[in-house]
Formats: sequence, structure tokens, C-alpha cells
Amino acid sequence: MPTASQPVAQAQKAEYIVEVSDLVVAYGAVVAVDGVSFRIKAGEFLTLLGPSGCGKTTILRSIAGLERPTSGEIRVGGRVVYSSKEGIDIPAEHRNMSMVFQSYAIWPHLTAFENVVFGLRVRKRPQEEIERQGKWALDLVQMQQYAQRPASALSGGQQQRIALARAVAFSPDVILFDEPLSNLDANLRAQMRHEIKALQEALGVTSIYVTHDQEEALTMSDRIIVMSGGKIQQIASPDELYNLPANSFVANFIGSANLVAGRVDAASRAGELVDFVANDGSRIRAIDPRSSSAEHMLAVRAVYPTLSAKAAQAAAPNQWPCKVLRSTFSGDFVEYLVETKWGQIVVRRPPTERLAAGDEAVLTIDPQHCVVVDR
Amino acid sequence: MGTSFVNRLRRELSFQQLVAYAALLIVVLLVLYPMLYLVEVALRISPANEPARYGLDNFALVFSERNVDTIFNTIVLAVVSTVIAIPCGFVAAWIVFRTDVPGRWLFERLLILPYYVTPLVPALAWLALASPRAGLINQIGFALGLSDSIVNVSSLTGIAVVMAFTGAAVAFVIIGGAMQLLNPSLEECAQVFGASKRQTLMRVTVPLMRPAILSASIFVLAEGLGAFAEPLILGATGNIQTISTRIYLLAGSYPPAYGEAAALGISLLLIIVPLMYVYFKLLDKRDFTTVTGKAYRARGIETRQSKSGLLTMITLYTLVAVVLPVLMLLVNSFQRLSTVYFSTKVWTFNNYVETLSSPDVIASLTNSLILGVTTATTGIVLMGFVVWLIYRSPLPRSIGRFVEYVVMVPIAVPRLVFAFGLLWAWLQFPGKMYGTLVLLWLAYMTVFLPIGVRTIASVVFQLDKSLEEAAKVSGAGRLYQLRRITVPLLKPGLIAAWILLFIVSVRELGASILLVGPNSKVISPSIVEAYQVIGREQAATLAIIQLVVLLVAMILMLRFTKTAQT
Repeated sequence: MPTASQPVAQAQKAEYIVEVSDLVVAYGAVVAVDGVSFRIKAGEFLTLLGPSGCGKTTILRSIAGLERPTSGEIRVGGRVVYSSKEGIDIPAEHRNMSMVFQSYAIWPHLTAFENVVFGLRVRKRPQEEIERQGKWALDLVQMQQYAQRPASALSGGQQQRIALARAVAFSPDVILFDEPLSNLDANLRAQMRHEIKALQEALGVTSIYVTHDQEEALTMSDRIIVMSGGKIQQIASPDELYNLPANSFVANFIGSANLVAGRVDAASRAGELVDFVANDGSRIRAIDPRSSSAEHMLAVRAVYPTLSAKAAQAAAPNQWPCKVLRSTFSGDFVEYLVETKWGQIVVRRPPTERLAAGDEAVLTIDPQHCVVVDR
Repeated sequence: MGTSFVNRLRRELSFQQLVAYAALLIVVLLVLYPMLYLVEVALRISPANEPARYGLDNFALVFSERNVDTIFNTIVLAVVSTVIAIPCGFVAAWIVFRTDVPGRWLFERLLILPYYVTPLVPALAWLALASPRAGLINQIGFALGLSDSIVNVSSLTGIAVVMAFTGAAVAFVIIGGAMQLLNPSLEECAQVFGASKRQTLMRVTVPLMRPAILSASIFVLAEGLGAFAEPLILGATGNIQTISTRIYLLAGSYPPAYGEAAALGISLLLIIVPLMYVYFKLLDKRDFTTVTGKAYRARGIETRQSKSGLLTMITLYTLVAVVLPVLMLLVNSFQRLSTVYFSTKVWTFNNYVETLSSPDVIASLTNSLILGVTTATTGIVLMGFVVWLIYRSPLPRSIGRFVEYVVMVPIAVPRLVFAFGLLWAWLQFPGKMYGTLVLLWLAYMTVFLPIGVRTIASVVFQLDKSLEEAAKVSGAGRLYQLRRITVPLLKPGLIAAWILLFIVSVRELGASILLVGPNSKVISPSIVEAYQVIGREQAATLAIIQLVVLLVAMILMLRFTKTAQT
């Protein structure tokens, strides 16, 4: 993946900056994180994505040292910061990390500048360095004119910027982001998303980002870990996650997908291509990149199929006559519910092509966009 | 149909306004009528049975050597006890609400105890523990061959320390409340950014708690300036008087020096009122940005190596400030003679038998319970109306503000001073109010206005307005809505408020002691009377009986506040 080779500010000894192995976090009988392992390369932007309660925040807090895991091991920069086997649990303040909190956690009794240089002050750095780094960090987020403002007098967006400046000011090994944009309104959120990404790329600092917002995850990340029920569902780049979801949960959670029940006909395999047999016996040509053995479903993203008034070429693969059941105008696209012989699917088309409910049409789906997934 | 609707609306509005004005009138009368009479008697230079003449003679008496001494003592006691109480209360609150020290649940309940019992309990207990010659601690010292007493609770410092134990409980409640509202990510953030526990405490927690610390300081200081029970019990041997005990003495002397007492009371107000002004300004400016709805703290701050040190510290403090005094009183209540410990012949159940068979004691217990129930019940109704008057009434907003301030006046007026005004006011009034339970009830309704109104207001504000609006939208009538939605939702909170009013009524001393008559005795003044007339053992017995009643009420209240929160 080309995205993983960003320039790295400081020389890193270990190839992987953060390594999480067999992490389990349980509260009594409730298992919040259930045996999770992953590794992050230096300079990588990794996102933990999942619905609320999936354990993503717990993992982040465990890495930060704010939560004590039940078992497993966490290494940061090659150093073990937590290990249940060796009985190691380095306190949060000695892990040299920084974090952007969901509630910003801007200290209201300090000025913007003092918030930003907090990490340097507690590390007892020389005054000259504090001044320089503080100014540099405030410049990065274009907040220099607010330096002496009391933090409680800043707006939500400004507090978010200060939280960001504070996170980078003392050159931490890793920045942890705990749903930092969820308290902002939609416009500001989009803007801050770009700013965080630009900042991260410019500084090349390793980042772990927790969110439940798939758009944030897809636009910002080098790699995404999709979580559900305390377990990892898939680790992949945004592109792969979208186009080749590993299972029905990922297909459903990211973007909007149609799921078709059926089975793979192993005899038809040609490379990655196989025939997927729907429950009515129809054959759909599909790709099966993982040639998985579990129970199968077919995932078809709503944006990929095409609808035309009549068949383009005779006998193209994956072409079926269909009937439009419902047509819903949504501005950027029109959503159709169409019925084929093997079932109903949702198709999104640009508003330039318009079909009405009751119209007969031909549905075409490229086999590359029919993905066999685990149930 | 249109006109009938308008008529109905008009009728309802005027009825609401009528109720609002009635509540306004009651509050103003309750609070301001006694205050006016306090000023009147302070300015009056003719005896009570002669035509009134006015002058400043009484205020000249304030500057007599005796009174200047008293004012000096009052200020020293208040300042010293505050200086001790605030750090104790802060550290205790930090350990209980912010760390992972074990047993926090138990410490929390024990540490608030002094807040709910009368200051008579620590006063009597510490007299038995640490009076210069007969106190248990000093007796042990002498037995070990020491020639001088180790501790002297009858000194200014001694009294201040005993006052500080109660003050620390108040500080614990105020600062602890603020700490529980503090967004934990503010501390966690400091930790992630590399701050040690000590740095986090000093650079983040303490500065963020500054408003709470300041308001606790002012509150404890004002309470200290009005302190009565501790100097009354402990100051007797060393002849240490405070303004409150002096007013009590002057009002009870023959002939009663009402003018001088009132002038002293007003000079005390001149110290407290500016303090209270600052206190309320602070409350108004309270910064809510540190308060969030999302409380995310699976575990307290990990104290690791310092855990055992902190645990020892808070255990010792709780033992000395809370457990030891109660145990001491318990021991005293089973003794024939409370100063003799090292003999097996002293133990007896007689104190309880005698106390509980005394008609006087039974009468004062009954009266206290009657007053507690009456004050709590009528208080909930009146204070409920006052809350409505302040926040939701049809009257102009400025009237609401005015009522809000009037209601808070009793905080600034030491109860004894207030009762003194009330006493004088009703002595002037035709009819036989003096020496009846009705007068005590009036006093309680007034002095508990601030605590009652604040408690009920917080209960009401917990209720999301949209719940009521949802009922309204779905077509529920006003009464139906009140009966089916508002009251059931508020019930646990209102029951807790009721019990709180019951508790503060049953333990009340400062106002009661001036207003009780031969036929209207209540329990706290009876403890003082038992101490002064019969003996410490009986006083201890009575205090234990009162403590048991209060503890039962307290446990009930905690149960209801817990369900109110969930």
C-alpha cells in the first residue's frame, strides 16, 4: 500500500510503533474487548471503527493507560507498556502518548497557550523550547491570535483546535483520537476532518483514531479496523473495506450494501471468479477474493449496478430483466428498489437517469462488484 | 366557545397569580418580620413595658471590653476552624471521589455523618475525651506518669478543632459534590500528557476546584461565626464566649438585656452578610463548562504506592473526627459517672431507663418528632410553592429574583440571632405564641427555607421539561399531568427532601434553645439542659437517642436519593 510510507519525523527503532496482542478487557461478566491483536506502522493513520459499545474506545483507553486490560500485551515503540503475563503496567503518564478527547478536555482554568504547552511544562523542558513549541503548535492550527485567551472563552471548534495543537506540541510517539469530532456540527466536522488529516500527513505522526462515523474513517485513514462485539471484523484499507468487505457486518456497516443469500458453486471457480447460486437457483458471477469456507452471502454495493431501459449487449454476464418497485429522489442520487427473479435489491443511480415505479428495465452488475462475504 | 376559553384562561391566570402573591407574602413575612424586630429592639433604649424610645446606646455596648473579647473569640474560632476544615474536607473528598483507595463507599457515608447530627455530639464527646483534667485522653496521660494534660479542648484552639470536624464535613459535601461533577477526562488528559498524580492534582484538580473550595470556605466561615453548640459546651470552663453564646446569655439574664443582644447580633450580621454576598456571587458565576453529562470513569485515579498511605490517613481522620466521638458518647451513656473509666462498677443501663421514663424527655422527644413531621410536610408544600414562584410563576421575573434573595437571607443570619428576632417579634404580638410549638414551627419554616428551597429546586430541575411537555402535547389536563407525570417522577426526590427537612428539624438547636418554653421542649435544647442541670451521662444518653433517630432517617434518605438518581 503506497499510503503507509509517509515521511516519519523521528527515527523509529521498531518497525511497528504500537503492537496490541490478544487484548482482553472484561468488566465482570461483560467482555468489552475479546482477544484483539493488531499492529501499527510508524506514521500510519489507523482507525478503529464500529458501532457504540463495540469496544473501540476501550482499546484506545487501554493503549493510553487509562483502562487496565484483563489480559494481553501492548507494546509502544518496542517497549512493553502492558503485559498481563509479565505483570507490567506502565502508568499513563510514562507512556509518552498524547490524546485528543471526545469532550476536548481543555482545561478551563488555563489559557489556550498554557493548555498547548502542558505536556512540555510537566516534562520540565527549558522555557525557550516551551515558547517555541507552543508558538509552532498554535501556528499549525491557526490559533496564534488566541494564545492568551482563557480556554473557557473559546468556541467548540476553537477548543478542538487547541486540543489538536496540545496533542502535537511535545512530539509524542503516538496520538490517540477518541471520537474528537462527534461534538461538532456537520460543517465544522468536515472542515476539521481535513485539517486533522493534513496535519497528520505533514507531521507524519502515528495516529490511532476512534470513530463510529464511516465517512470520517474512510476519508482519513490509511487502514481501518472494523470492530463489533469486542472483536475485529476486518482490517483493511478504506478502498478494500468498501469494495471487498469480509463479512455481512462490514458490508452493512460501511456504505450501503445489498446482501443476497445463497451458496458458492465451487466447481465454477476460475481464479477469483466463482458462480454464486442464489436461493432460487439463479447464477450470479461474483468474486471470492478470500475463497472463504464459511457460510456465504453475496454483497452488492447499491452504487455499482446499472439500470437501462433495454439490454445493451445480448447475453452479457450478470444481466437480468427487472421491475422498478419504488423510486426515491434523494438529491445527489435516486434510489430504486428493483425486483429481479433472485430477489429485491436497492440501486442508487445519478439523477440524470430517471425511471418511475412500475417501469421495466435491465439490471447489470459487474462481477467485480458482486463480492462473496462471510455471513 | 371562544369566549368561554378566554374566560377560563383569565380565571386560571388570576388564580395562579393569587397563589403566587400569597406565597410571596408568606415568605416575606416569615423572613423579614423577625429581622425588622431585631433591628427595632437593637435601637430601642426604653424598657419593654414603656413607650418606645430609640437611640444607638445598645451599639455602644458592643464595644465594651467583654463584648470586644467575645467578637475576637468568635472571629478567631471561625477563622482557625475554617483553615483546618477546608484542607481536611478537600483531601477527604479527593480520596473518596477521585482515587481507587478501598472502602470509599464506607468513608463517604461516615464522613458526611457530622453534617447530619448536631454539633452537640462532637462537643459533648470531645469534652469527655479531652477536657484538661478529667478527659479520657488526659487521664491516660496522667496514668502513664505525665504531669501535664496532653490536650485541652476548652482552649480556643481546642474548640476550633472540634468545630473544624463539623466544618470539614460541610466542606466534604460541597467540594465532593463539585468533584463528582468534574469531567474526569480533564484529569485523564493531564495524565496522558505526562503529568504525575501529584502534578495532576496540583495543576488541574485543585485549580478546577477553586470555586468550590472558595464557596466551601465562605460557607464554613459563616457557620463558624454563628457557632453556638461547641463554644456553649466547651467554652464554659475556660469562660470562652462567642457572639452566639453571649446573646443566649444576655437574653436569658435577669433582666434580659435584649437591646445589647440584638446589637451584638446585628454586628455579627455586618460580618457575615458581605461574606454571603461573595458566596452568592460565586454561585452565580459557577462555570458549567467543566460539567458534562457523560461520566466515563471505570476506575478512580490509581494511587499505587501511595495507596496505603492515603488509606491510613483517611482511616485515622474518620476515626478521630467521626467514629471516636460517637463511641465516646455511647460509652458515656452506659456510665454511672462519665469521668471514671478504670473501674468495672461504673457500667449501667440506668441512664437509658431513667431518660426514657422521664416525662420531660418523652415530651421533648415527642415534640421533636411532631415538629419534624409537621415542618417537613408543610415545608415541602410551602417551599414547593416558593420554587414555583421563583422559577415558573406568572409574576414578573424581578419578583422571582427578589424572592430568591429573601429566601436565602436565613443562611446569612445565625439561627440564634434569627430566633432572637422572632422571639422579640412574637413577644410584642398579642396572643400566646411564646412557648408554643407553633412558634418553633414558624422558626423552623423560616430558617430551613434556604436548604428546603435549594433541595426542592434541584429535584424539580432533574426532571426533564420535555417529559411534562410530552404529557401536555398528548392532551393531559393540568391536574392529570401533575398527578400522573410530575408527582410520580418527582416522588423519590421529594421524599428525600422531606426526610432532609425532618432531619434538620429534629437536630435543630440554635433557634430552638431561645424559643422553647416549659411546655414546648424539643430534644437538642433538652440535651443542653441535661448537660447543664443533670449530668453528662444523661446528656450523652439523650444525644445517642437523637443520633439513632437521625441515623434511621439518614439511611432512609440515602436510599431515596439513590433511587432518585437512577
